[in-house]
Amino acid sequence: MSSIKKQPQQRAALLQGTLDMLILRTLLYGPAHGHQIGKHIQRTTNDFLQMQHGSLYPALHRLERRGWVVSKWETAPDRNREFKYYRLTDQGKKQLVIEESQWKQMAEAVARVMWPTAEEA
Amino acid sequence: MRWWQLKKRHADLERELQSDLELEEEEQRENGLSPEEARQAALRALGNTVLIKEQAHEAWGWAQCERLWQDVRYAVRQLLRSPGFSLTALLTLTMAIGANVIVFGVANDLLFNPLPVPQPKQVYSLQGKHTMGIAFSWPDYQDIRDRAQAFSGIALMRLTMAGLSTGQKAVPVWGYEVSSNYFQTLGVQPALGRFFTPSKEVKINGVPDAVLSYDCWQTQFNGDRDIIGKTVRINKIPFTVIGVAPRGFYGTERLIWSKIWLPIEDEPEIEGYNWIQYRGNQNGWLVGRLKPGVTAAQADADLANVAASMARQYPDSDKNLSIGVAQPGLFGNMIGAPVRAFVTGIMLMAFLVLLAACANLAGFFTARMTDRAREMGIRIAIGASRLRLMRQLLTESILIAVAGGIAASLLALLTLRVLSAWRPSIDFPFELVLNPGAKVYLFASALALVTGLIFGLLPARQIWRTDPNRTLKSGMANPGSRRFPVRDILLTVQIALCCLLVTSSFVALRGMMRTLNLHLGVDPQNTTLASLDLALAGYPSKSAAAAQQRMLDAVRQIPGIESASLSNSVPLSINQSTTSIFAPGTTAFNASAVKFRANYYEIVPGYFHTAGTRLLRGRDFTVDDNDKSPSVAIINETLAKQLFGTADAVGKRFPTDTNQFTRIVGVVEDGKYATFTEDPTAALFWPLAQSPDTTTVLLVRSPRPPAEMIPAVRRAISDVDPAVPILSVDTWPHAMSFFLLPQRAATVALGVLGAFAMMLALTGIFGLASYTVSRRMREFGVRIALGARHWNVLRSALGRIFVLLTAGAVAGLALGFAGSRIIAGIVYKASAFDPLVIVAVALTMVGIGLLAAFGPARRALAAEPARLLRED
Repeated sequence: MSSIKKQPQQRAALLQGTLDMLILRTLLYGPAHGHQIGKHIQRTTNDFLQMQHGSLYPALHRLERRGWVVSKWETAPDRNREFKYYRLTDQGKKQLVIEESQWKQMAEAVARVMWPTAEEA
Repeated sequence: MRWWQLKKRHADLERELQSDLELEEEEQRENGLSPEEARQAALRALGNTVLIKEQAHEAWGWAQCERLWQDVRYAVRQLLRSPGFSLTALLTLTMAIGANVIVFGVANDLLFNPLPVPQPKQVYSLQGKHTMGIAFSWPDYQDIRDRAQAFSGIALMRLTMAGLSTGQKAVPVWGYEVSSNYFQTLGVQPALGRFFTPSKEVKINGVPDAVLSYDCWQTQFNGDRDIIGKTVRINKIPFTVIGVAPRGFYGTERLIWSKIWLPIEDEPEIEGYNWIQYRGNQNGWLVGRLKPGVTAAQADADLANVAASMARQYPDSDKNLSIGVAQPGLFGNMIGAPVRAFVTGIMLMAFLVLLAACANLAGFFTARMTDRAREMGIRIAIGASRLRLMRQLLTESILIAVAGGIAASLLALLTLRVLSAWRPSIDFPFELVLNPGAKVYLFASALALVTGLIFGLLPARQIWRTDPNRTLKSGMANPGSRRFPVRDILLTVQIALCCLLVTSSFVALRGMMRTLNLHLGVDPQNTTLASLDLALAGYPSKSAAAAQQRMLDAVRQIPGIESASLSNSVPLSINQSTTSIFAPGTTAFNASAVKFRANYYEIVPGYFHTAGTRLLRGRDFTVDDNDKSPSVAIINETLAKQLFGTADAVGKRFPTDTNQFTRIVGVVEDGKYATFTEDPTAALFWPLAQSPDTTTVLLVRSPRPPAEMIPAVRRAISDVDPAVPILSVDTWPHAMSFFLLPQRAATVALGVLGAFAMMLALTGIFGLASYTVSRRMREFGVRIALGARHWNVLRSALGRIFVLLTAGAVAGLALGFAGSRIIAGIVYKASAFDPLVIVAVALTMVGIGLLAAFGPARRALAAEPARLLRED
């Protein structure tokens, strides 16, 4: 019983860390609502990062609680409907920079192990 | 995010998800799917909405609190469903925790509260190290003060009663005569005015200054702001108030709340005779403050040196001098040690009762746990973590514990208030100010929490071993795989504790009974005592005799009395004095020649008849034994034997000073004089006419009820002189009862704890027995159907329980033997090796067992095989 529960948790945990960063990056362009963020990530990664929209929302709410984004119900510019738009805060911008540099460091470290240059070999 | 907005949040999220769904649907339809398929695709794309909502809920951060609140509500519901169980558990805990809190409150006040002085840990009493004496003389004090190196200051204080008056009537107050450095040594600051000026000079009767206590200032003088400089009369002598002590300062003895402080230099005029110039008159208590950095052990060594040097210098009076330090507050070690031992013992007992209650409750909760085994199995099966289940169970037990703690605090508060207001009816300034401070409540809360955890964790253990598979199939918890299941051990522990407490109670009771049957040497029944001190009304010793005679005559006029008499003091009262006895043939009358000390009383003729003391030989005093006739005395048998080797001492003489002899005219029976538990002591009686004293006790023997006698005696005394303050009028047995106080208190405390432990044992056995019986009803049905006799059924049902009962009782009795030593320190002649005690304990335990098992036994026997075998 318990082992079945663990798998999606593990996958979600892996994605969770980077998901926050991706959302923050997406919002750097400007405010967007949940659906748009999901579609954007899907499009820009050429459907590689396919995730269920559902996992976005908890992440968004978590980010809001941390104070990195703020949300507001606004009317969409092109339609006559209201959507909940998320915006990046100043703190969020700082956090994005931090997470970006962390990601870069990790990527570099992994790259050095995977593809060592001639001197390190 | 505030928790009351959670509902709004949920609605918000719902709306958000809804709009996402619609957008997705639109896009899918644009891709060419039918509305139905578009909807399905949209739902798939979104994912598990329930999971989303749950995760979002977690993200909002209040989930933990919500779960806790859920647990609490569920626990409350569960507890309300079985009100009988919950109420019993609550009551048990309230009383167990309450007892501990009350005992702690008393102990806190008597033992732990620091003295009302700055840096109280540096202040010590100085006492005789190898002797029981706690008093020193003034010249000795001066030498100790000057020679001791370890103290920054040593002060002397002498408890005294004084008549304080501003107008006509004198009010008796307790106070201290102190050395001039008393306040400086203790380090207190005056609330008003100033204190005595420290000085090594002693101007006899030359310092008419007085310091009032804060309480005295408020009550006697209404907090008069201009009190400084006002004149008050102490024993009719004018004194000037120079200062008021700070609020809450009562001196250094916990049991005596002093109202006034006077300079020791004025002692001769206050007390009527000069004792401060004599090295042999030991009347003062010493208190000292250690120098910073000096330890008590170093002070002890220093004082030993001082004592040795003084013994060398003054061999006559200080030959056997020994000094050491002692914890201040309870007359040093005189009553400090037994009081501490007693209070510690009681605290331990109360804690044992708490443990027993925990064991009791743990047993109950465990039983409930097995009843809910199926529920637990289901919960684990559908995915609850064991930790979560344990937490929920602990919530239940902690909830009951907290409720019990609150109820216990209230109970303790009430009890301590009642105890505070209680005054023993003696003329002693004894104030038990029990203010349960924050410390006590903290103690109660901590105790409650710990208790809840203890008896909650035990049954919670069972959850770890629950296998959902088996419980769902059989509906029962894991069958006990151990030889001694925890419940049995718990019950045995409970029984042992109960038996221990019951044994202690019986031991104390038996000791009390023996004490009451002691030979006292007087017959206090039907006698009223009135004690007063004429010195407080300003009578010098010489004219006091006339007033005393007038009062005696007045009292003898009261109708319906058998006899009345007068003395300076009676046995077994606060005011006991001793004198030195020198053997016949003594030439040098100093401290080293003292053969032994004897209690002495100054009496009028007829005293023995009124007091009920038997005259063994010779005669009583007569009116002819006065200050013009030769010195005579009456002694008791012990003194006669100690001095002359035989009880036949009438006509013999003994010396009191150079060329001064006293002739013995009578010998009376022995009795108890200072305490109930003393060994036979020597006693000496002087005729009051030859040895006048202003302290007076009137004895009035009459068959009339005390309600009539007490006011009649008061009136008679007031008719003679209304200005004399009467210290107390009481029946003799009641006045004596103060001396029985420690034993009474011990017996009552042990009795209450014992009764409570019995109750716990009763409920424990009853719980286990009825539980066992109800689980095995089918088995009994089968047995009876197969022809088992009543005895067989009972043996199989309750046999184990009675084995546990016996084991526990034996263990408890053994512990009781060991513990009876502590009780013997307080209760005279208390010993567990008394066949009566053992029989009583055995009967009690058997009685408890039978009473508790009666109900379940009947149920077991009433098992109807036919019906039970049909049921599931």
